[in-house]
Amino acid sequence: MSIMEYNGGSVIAMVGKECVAIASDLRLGNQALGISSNFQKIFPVTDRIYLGLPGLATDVTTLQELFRFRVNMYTIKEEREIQPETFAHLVSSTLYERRFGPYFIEPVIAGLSQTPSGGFKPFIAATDLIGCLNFAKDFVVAGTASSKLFGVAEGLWEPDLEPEDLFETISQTLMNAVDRDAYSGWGCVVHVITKDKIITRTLKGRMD
Amino acid sequence: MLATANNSLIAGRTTIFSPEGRLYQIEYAMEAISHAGTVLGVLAKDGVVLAAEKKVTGKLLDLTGAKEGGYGGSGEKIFLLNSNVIGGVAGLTADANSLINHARTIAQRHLLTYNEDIPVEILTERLCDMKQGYTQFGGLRPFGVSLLYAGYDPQYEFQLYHSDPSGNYSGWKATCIGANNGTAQSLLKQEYKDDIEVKDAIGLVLRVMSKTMDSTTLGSEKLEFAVLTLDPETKKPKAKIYRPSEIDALLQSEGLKKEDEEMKP
Amino acid sequence: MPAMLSTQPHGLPHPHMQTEQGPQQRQFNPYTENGGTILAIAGKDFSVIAGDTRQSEGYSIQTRYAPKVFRLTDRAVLAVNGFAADGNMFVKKVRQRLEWYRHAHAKDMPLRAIARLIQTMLYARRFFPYYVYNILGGIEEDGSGAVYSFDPVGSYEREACRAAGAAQSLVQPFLDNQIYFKNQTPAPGTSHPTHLPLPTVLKLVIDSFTGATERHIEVGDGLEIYVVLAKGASTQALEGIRGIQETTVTNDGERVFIIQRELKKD
Repeated sequence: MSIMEYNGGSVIAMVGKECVAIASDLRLGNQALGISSNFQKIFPVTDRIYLGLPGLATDVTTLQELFRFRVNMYTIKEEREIQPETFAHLVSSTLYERRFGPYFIEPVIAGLSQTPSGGFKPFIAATDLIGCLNFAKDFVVAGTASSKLFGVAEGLWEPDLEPEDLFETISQTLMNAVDRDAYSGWGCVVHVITKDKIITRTLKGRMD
Repeated sequence: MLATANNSLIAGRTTIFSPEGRLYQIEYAMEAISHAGTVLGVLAKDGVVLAAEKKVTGKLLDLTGAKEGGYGGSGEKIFLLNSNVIGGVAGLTADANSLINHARTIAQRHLLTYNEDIPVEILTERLCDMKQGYTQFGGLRPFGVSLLYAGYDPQYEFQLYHSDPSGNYSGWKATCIGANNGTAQSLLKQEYKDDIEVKDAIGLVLRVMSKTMDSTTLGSEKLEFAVLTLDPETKKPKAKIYRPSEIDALLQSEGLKKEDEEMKP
Repeated sequence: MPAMLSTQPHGLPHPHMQTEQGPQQRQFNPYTENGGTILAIAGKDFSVIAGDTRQSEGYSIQTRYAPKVFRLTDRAVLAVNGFAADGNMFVKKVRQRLEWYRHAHAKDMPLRAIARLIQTMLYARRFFPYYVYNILGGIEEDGSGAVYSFDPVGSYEREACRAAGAAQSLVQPFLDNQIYFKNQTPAPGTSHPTHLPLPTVLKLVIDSFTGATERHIEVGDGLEIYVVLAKGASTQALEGIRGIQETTVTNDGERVFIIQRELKKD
């Protein structure tokens, strides 16, 4: 029995043309028993940064609240919103603080970072449970269906997808991957982040 | 009177009473505050207004950061403590900054434990408990700061508190700390009405400030200003610390703007 | 005689403090994992069976070219994956049984019979199994493309497509989406095709393996694709494919082709 697989769940983030998308399933289980089909794993950090937390459910809540604390302190002191790269390092240090008794979560971060010229650059990152950062240019995956997500994403992703196409790609990747994982599924939610707005959609998929 | 408190035998200890039963260190702290820039607060039925006189001013001061970004203000007197509480400080700026940091951490810790915005009195009480500790334990000097807390919580709605170096606090409808606070307090006593609205409170605060401030000018170079109201749609507290340009516009509309010849380019 | 630890005089610290370990049991492990991935897709009148050519053990590569896909007859191709020694031996034994059948019946075994035979051969070793995941691809007696997949002890099923091996979890969901059109709704008024044409299938096979090579360390080096065409099926789709080789033996029946491609070697 692995603690990372106790509750189940998966998250993926992808880069598109001047946009990013992040998606997750909605399952919360107690090993094989499904408990909730409404368990949120992706949380807004700022208007332009979203954080996905797959893994042990209690740590999902704890880390979400802990990051809210630290980001609030940052915002209030710096008098500006935290940037995605900075937030990613905040996530990394927070996890490494617990190096010898870690949180059982593998966070996924998606956002748009501000360039000096005032434009926005897509940003995704993921870490392992003790905070090792991975800055990918294409996509990042985490959770019980991670190997399935890798396989489908590798086949479906291409660079410079427009927001609507990125939505289709990430949705198909997530849905087909979780359908092959017993511990992920029971509903999916997708957020597409562009510089003007964020569109959130819940997908209709297999509920078995 | 008795200079024994300054005697080298007991001077290093704040935790000591004088023969008449006074704590001199606290009184000396309050003395320091009486020379600091005024901070004025007025409680209205739909909000709270805070204004403050800046002491650190001058043409050479680099305030480029304060113009556009952040929460407005110059970061000298008025600070955002949490999304539902604004703080105004008078006294030793360094001590004030330390307390502000503590207050912010206390507010976030409450949020982490209870998943709710910290109630205003609880925040005040926590800071005061801390300040009182510095008058009784550790042999450290007290914080040379008085604070005004302007906040909102769902239980008691809008509130205004004042705390001092002793660690004592009380709730006020209108109050003033720092230099000339006596003058300001009596002005407020005359003019304050219980059912005052925020827009009138703003006018009252600015008029009282213009009468009590040391400087001949009334403009954004010398004044910090903030208002806490409730957003009509979301029903959540909305803290607004005015930017220099907004302060000037406000003063203009109230007909109180006084130019500073020195500050003109 | 060197001084024994237990006779060290008291007062001096033990140079090697050892925590006592109880009795340990050591045993020979008859199996090992040799990595790699195989895949088979059935078309209307063809079948495609592919496998990478890397053979590894742990983090080491034993060889960059070890075939995992074997021609049994002109209508049957068997891919074996798991423990290479068992895989290779199993293919030899299946070929032996096919030869016996040919002598006894004066014809080649039909595909479904080969599938059933494989089940009995695997189950015969139920209590010391062949550690292999088999995928049998080819043409049925009715001329349709077929894929049969097996577990190590003989449980089997006919399917339209199957991936097995190290990168099964990466490849299978991709195939579910692209071949079975799972989680895809057709445009209103149309429906998804029940069978895909050969060029599309070959592209999917190549994309599956390049994707698996990217993200799985045990997959790479080379790709070998066998294409089995039904009797009378047109070879038009195979025209112009770089490096295609034919390995058909008989003259009037099904045809078998091999396509080889490079995969990343890292």
